[in-house]
Amino acid sequence: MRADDQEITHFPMTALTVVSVTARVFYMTVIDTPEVENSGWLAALIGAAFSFPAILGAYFLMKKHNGTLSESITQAAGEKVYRIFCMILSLALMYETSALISILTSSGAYATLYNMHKLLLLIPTAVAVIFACSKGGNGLGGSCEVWIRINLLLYAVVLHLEYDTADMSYIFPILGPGTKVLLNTGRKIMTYYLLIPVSFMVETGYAVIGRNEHKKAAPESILKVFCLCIGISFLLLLIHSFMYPSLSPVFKSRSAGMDLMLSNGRSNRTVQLPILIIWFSSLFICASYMLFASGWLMNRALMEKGRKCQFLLGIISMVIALFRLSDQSRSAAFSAGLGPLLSFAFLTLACVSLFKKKEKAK
Amino acid sequence: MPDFFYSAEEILREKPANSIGENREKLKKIFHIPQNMDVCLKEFKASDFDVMLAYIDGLVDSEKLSEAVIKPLIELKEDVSPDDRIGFLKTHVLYAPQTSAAESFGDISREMLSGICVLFADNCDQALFIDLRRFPHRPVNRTNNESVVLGSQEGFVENIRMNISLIRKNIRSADLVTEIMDIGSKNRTKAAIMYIDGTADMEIVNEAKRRLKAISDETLMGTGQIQQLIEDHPMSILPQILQTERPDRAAAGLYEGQFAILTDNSPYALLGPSTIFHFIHASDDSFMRWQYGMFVRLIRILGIVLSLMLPGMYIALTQFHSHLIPMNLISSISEARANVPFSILGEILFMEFSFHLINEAGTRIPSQIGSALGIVGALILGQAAVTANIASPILIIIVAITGLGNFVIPSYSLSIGIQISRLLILFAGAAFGLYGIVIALFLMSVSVCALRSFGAPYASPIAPKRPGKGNVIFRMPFGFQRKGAFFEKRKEENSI
Repeated sequence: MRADDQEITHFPMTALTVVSVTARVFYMTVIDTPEVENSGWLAALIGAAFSFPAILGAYFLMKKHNGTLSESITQAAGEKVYRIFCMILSLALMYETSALISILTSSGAYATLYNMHKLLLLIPTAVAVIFACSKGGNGLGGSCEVWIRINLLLYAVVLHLEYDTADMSYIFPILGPGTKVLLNTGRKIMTYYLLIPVSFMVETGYAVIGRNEHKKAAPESILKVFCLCIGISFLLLLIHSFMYPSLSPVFKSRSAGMDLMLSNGRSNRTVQLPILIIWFSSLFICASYMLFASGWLMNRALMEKGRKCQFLLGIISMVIALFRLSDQSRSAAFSAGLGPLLSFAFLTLACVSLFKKKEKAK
Repeated sequence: MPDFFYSAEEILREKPANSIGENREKLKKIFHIPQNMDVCLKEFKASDFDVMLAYIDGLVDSEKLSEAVIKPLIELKEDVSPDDRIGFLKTHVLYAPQTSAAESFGDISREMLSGICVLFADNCDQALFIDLRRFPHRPVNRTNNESVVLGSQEGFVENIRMNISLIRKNIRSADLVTEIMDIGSKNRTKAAIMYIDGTADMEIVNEAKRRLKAISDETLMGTGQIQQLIEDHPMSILPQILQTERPDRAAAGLYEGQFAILTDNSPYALLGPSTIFHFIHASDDSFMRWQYGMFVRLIRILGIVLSLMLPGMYIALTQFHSHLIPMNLISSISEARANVPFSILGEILFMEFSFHLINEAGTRIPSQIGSALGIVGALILGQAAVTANIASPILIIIVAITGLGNFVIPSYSLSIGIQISRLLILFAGAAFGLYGIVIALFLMSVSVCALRSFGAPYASPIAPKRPGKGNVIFRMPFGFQRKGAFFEKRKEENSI
């Protein structure tokens, strides 16, 4: 009668993936790379274009082997390679969790708790992330499905309140910051879109109502989720149309970026409340999901069961954040490096699978 | 073997003896006669053989016993062979509607304690159970805790048979199955599990039966204990099995594919599996026109949200985010709080405590002095607290709205759960402001979505999204609601 806490079915996974990807894309363009100015939406599209080959590779793997992505990778490259891949991904996601805990703590300190020491914020944040993970993937995903509905409503309130100050000319000229900046940002954002195939590795398929069975998700669903993420990222980045573009090339801190997003000196004070709720909830969902996926992948790599790995990875990510090893510059560099590696990995697996087919044909 | 070598436990395993004298001695040992004075052993002659009736005084209908059993036996003139004495009496002599054979003294003792009368005959190693029970009980009355404006006013009582018949009155279907069992290890409480065959998922029903039979507690006093012993997450704040005192609610649940558990001495039925929305819906939502039902339900949901969030948001906004409050309101709040010596958190906790105290006292207070409580409550929470600068007027309004929002919850269990959750959100808001409230709400939503009730997700059909009936948040017109039971076993594969 009890569901397996370590499994996550298709719809909860989709909800978590969409929220995580779009929250990270938004954060990267609006806060972490302010040099893109108001062309963040274009940088997001470039990032999506960069990640598309890898997404296509994952799609090809699932289509060819007619299984979940994990099963397909195992069939294509073997059990050992799959487990090593899981281990590397798990550690990468653990670092991502640490970066998100750091982001949450900084956001909380800046937006609400100005006088509180960051340590006092960081430990409860990390404990809350670990606790949320312990409720299992389907619990996390179900909660995410509820929060999507609430956040959509709040975002509609934000758009309504900011409607009078919207000006589409703010998001043009699109090449304002320069192609180099746009391409560089796109490379960082690519990493987050590649969370989509990682999520498909973690899911167990559709749950059949009333039975303890699962139905495999169609390979096309990875492309649908990808398109959904692009669309929602674009919608979120429309917020740039409310912000006058700054002409200063100086690299801004996260605080300045957040200040610009929240107040901009002229935005309605009332609008800050829904923005803050959307902000905190999305990042929290993202952090919890990253930790869950990290724990799941480590379990697969070590052939373990239960929540021990998740708990240990959560503690390690908290310690990393405590020692400021996942602050802004380091996490941006990490994102810039991880994306191409992930892309390379999925494309290689797809090629290996193709090569194996050709060899068999011979 | 002399009697003193036998213990009562050993006797319970034995079958009835041939001799009435031996049976009498065994019953005396089991029931501690003569100290136990309400156990009656009546011996008399029927035709040319001795018979003995054993029963507990007060549990048996004496008039029917005389008319249906004693009189026909005394008036019996025929010779009856010892081989089939009990069988003959059962089919040809007694007027009682329900009779069955006894297998052992264990059965005899258990049935006598349930109010069954036992007939022994001389030179016959069988005994006969005769059902002439008549427990003292209160009549079917209005419900105390689930009042409705429209709809049936009947409520369950403490007699299990009457409760079963109240449900049968609502569901006139041959597919309604009632399985009766004894649960508990020492005080064997009679329980019934009811479900509609073909609608309920038998896997879930079998799991419920397994959990009931696995209860090893010695003394079970009612459905409240059973609920805690069989639910999936007993440590959770929120209940996972609905307790209702309304037969129409129970019947509606059975139509939805739920099972109902009834026990003796308890005027409640347990309905499972249940989702959180079952605890929020009231019976008369369906009895009203859909427009009124939808309006009332939305008011109720708003009340629950305010009850949960209002004190926490008040403290978070006034302490950490005063810049988000309009200037007129913030100056009004500041003026009202100017002379209050306590912190906002202290003020809220004091008022919350007073409110809960009055609430609890109102439940326990004898009715003769109940009216005095209203005056005390109004004085303490109203005028005196404000005049003495213990609390600000705006806080009185917040506590009042919070309390009213709590009282609109139809389920008492859920209302207590919401009160506890409100305190958690209050402390999160006091410590970390809006950041803490968002995190606390998120953790609560994750906990709710992770709960299961006999395998069914607690937050369904919202999370995970599955086909609902058009009756979850909004009360849609009947024509727009999906046909079929929500919990029924799916005939076709339907994936989520």
